[in-house]
Amino acid sequence: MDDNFITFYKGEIIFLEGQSSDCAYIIESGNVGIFRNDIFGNRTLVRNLGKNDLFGEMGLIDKYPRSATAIALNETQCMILERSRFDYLLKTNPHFVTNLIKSLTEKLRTTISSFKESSISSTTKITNKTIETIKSKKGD
Amino acid sequence: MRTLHFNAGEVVFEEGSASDCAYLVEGGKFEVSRIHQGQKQILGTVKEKEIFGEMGLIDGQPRSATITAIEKSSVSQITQDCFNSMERTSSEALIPLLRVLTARIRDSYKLATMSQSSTL
Repeated sequence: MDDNFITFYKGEIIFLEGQSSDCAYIIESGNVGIFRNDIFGNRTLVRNLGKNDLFGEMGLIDKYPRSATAIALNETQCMILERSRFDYLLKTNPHFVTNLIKSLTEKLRTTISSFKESSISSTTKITNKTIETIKSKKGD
Repeated sequence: MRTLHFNAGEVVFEEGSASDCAYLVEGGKFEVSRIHQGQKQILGTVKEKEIFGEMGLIDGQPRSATITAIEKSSVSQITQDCFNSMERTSSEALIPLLRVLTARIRDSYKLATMSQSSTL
């Protein structure tokens, strides 16, 4: 298996809210739950992600700590997108940036609508074309 | 880019209205608000060099908030054509937009937690 891939077991914590961010992930198979702590400190599921969803990218953009906790909901394989590759794609690939902008906009709308609704369900899909672009430049 | 001027209290756009452009603040300050459970909820402010209205430009959905000038202010209008040409040609020109969106998501997470506590 390629170094850029990582497998998480069911229930395994991928990262915790508040930790520093050094990479993003794209799900190859399985499911990842994104959790935030409510005012009582209880973990609440805010998004359920599946194949081709990207997560963990916000910390790469602004270098702030993780805004949420990510946990594998079943056996999950992810591709790791390291900071250096992420920065390279930002600088060289307008298509990648455009897709990121769209997925962040969708995420923002979901969060805003969650002011009214108690549960949220949304995904951060990036297109297959983008994923192919990322994969094809693995050797850079 | 066209420049528009607003006096204190003037509304740039209302929550729910159709979106066709974004704005770059050249000077002054604007309040971002929305109606939540029949009451006005202030989401934040935008000031010089910041962008607002970009969400409608990106996904074409109606405005998610109302923008009101707090003081005498001016903005540059970023049209769909202008944004599309940035999309095609320049990655780096779009990076500030990524930062703005990420900052808004983090702010809205905080607000979501606060509104959760206020409804209990």
